Formats: sequence, structure tokens, C-alpha cells
Amino acid sequence: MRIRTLIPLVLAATSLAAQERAAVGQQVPDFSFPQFLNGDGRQKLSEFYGQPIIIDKWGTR
Amino acid sequence: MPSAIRQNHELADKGLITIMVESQGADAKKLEGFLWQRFPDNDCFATTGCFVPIPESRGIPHGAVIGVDGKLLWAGNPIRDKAKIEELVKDQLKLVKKGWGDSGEARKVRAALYGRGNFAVAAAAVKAMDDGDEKSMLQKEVDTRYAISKAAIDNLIKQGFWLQAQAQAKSLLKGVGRHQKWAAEATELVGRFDTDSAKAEIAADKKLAKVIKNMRKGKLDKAPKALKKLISKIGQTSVGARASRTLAAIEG
Repeated sequence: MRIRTLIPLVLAATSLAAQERAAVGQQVPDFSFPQFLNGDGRQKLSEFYGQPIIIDKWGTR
Repeated sequence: MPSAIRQNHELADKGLITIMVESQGADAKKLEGFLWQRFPDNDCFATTGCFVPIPESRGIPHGAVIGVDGKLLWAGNPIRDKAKIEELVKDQLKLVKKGWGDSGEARKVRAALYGRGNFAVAAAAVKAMDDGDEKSMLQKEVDTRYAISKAAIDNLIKQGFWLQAQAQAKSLLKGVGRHQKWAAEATELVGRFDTDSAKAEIAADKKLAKVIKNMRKGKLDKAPKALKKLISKIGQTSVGARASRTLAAIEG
């Protein structure tokens, strides 16, 4: 019963996440970053507009 | 990662923003410690644990280039597509310098605003435009950029980056020229660095800058001793709090 309830929720969340991702050529949905190291108080992506932005996802392990 | 740091060193002053997003679950303290140990010369924006709405990948490294207007220009493996990234960034930095948009007015406003940080010229160019949607949009851009630049000064002060805040305040004052409202606000901001407590913070930040300079070169072995000595002298300042955070990060 619990699984039956969860599956639609997981699918809905997955679908929403997929919709929120930009494809090349599209506007990237605005969102907030957590606190930055080396930051100047800008947290939202839109606060960087007017400058090109490189996002680099990496790992510490 | 090292190539992104190097590129940021070369192009940040031309307008490039590089944002490192740690995506293997490190917390902020671990992230800071890791960066100091492995990439001490990193001066990119760095954060951890957030969803970035770019195309999904199976692993890392993974990245994206977002244009000056917020559109996604590329997403993929930054090592594989290094040349492509460099080409896109070069083209975007030309837009920062020359401005972009459908009309000459839009390009003029944006070149002044983003390329030169000249709020006075940007505001005057908007004022001279005919009323309409484009004028409203550009006015909003100018006002937003000014508000962000002003807020950054407060944020830098709160974090103990007094030298950077002072430089930004002076740059803002220069950029607003004789604009009636902004010139008064920017003059007041610059004046905030003339108080005794501000001067103490600035003096402390100059001392910390010397320690950080050596740390950026990878000389971390002597940093804890130097930071502890500094903290004993400037512990009560916001710069002292920043020095304590840095010490905690490198000591793990």
C-alpha cells in the first residue's frame, strides 16, 4: 500500500525535475545556490546575468 | 577543475563567473578544507549540495556554460569539450564588452552597464529612449544591477572581506557619476570605510591578505601558526572571524 502511494509521488517528482532542467538554447530556470565560498552575496543565478557563467560540477572523493 | 581555475584567473576581471558545485555530498567545511589542501589558488565561487537545472549527467565532471542573457549555451563534460567552452566564453565576453540586444540602444546600455560598470551612462541612455517595453526592461536591468552591486558591499563587509568591499564601493562611486540619487548613496558607502572601526578592519584585512597570499601559493604548512598569531591580535574584528573560519577549514 505504501509503495503504491509512493510510486506516483516519485514519478511526479522525477517528471517535475525533468521539466525544470534547461536544454541548450533555453533559458535556465532561476534558482538559488547555497552560501558560496569566495562569494559576494549573490545567491540567485539571475543575479549573475550580464556575465557569462561556467558551472563546474565536481567531487571531493 | 585546474583548467577552470586557470581560466577564471585569466578571465574573471573581464567578466567571467565560474561556479564550482561539489556534488558528492561534502558539507561547506569539508569543501573549504578540501579546496585549500588541493586547489589553494582557487578563487572561483564554490558551493556544495545543490540542484542545478542543466541536462542531467551520469557522473562528474559535468558542467555548463550559461550566456549573458541566462540561456544555456552548452552542457557536457568540461574536459572533453575544453576548446568549445573557451570559444563560447570568448564570444560571450565580446558581448559583455560591446553589449547585446535587438537595438542599438540596448547594446549601448548593456555595454555601459556590464562591460564598464558605468551606471551613469547606462541610466542616461535608458532615459533618452522612447517609452515602451524595451525601455522598461532595460531600466529594470540597470536598477537591478545597481542594487546587486550595492548589496555586495554589505555582504563582503559581513564576511570580513573589507579590502574587496572598499574597492567595490570606490568602483561603484566612480560608476554612478553624478546620478542624483545613486551618487549620494555611493558617497555614503565609501564614507563608511573612514571610521575608526572600519580602519581597524581594513588594517586587519591587509595582514590577513599577506597570510592568504602565501596560502594561495600552496604554502599551507606555516599557515596555522600565522593565522593563530593573527587571530590573537585581531580576533574581535570581522576579519578575525574570517581568519578563524579559514583556520578551522585547513585544520579539518
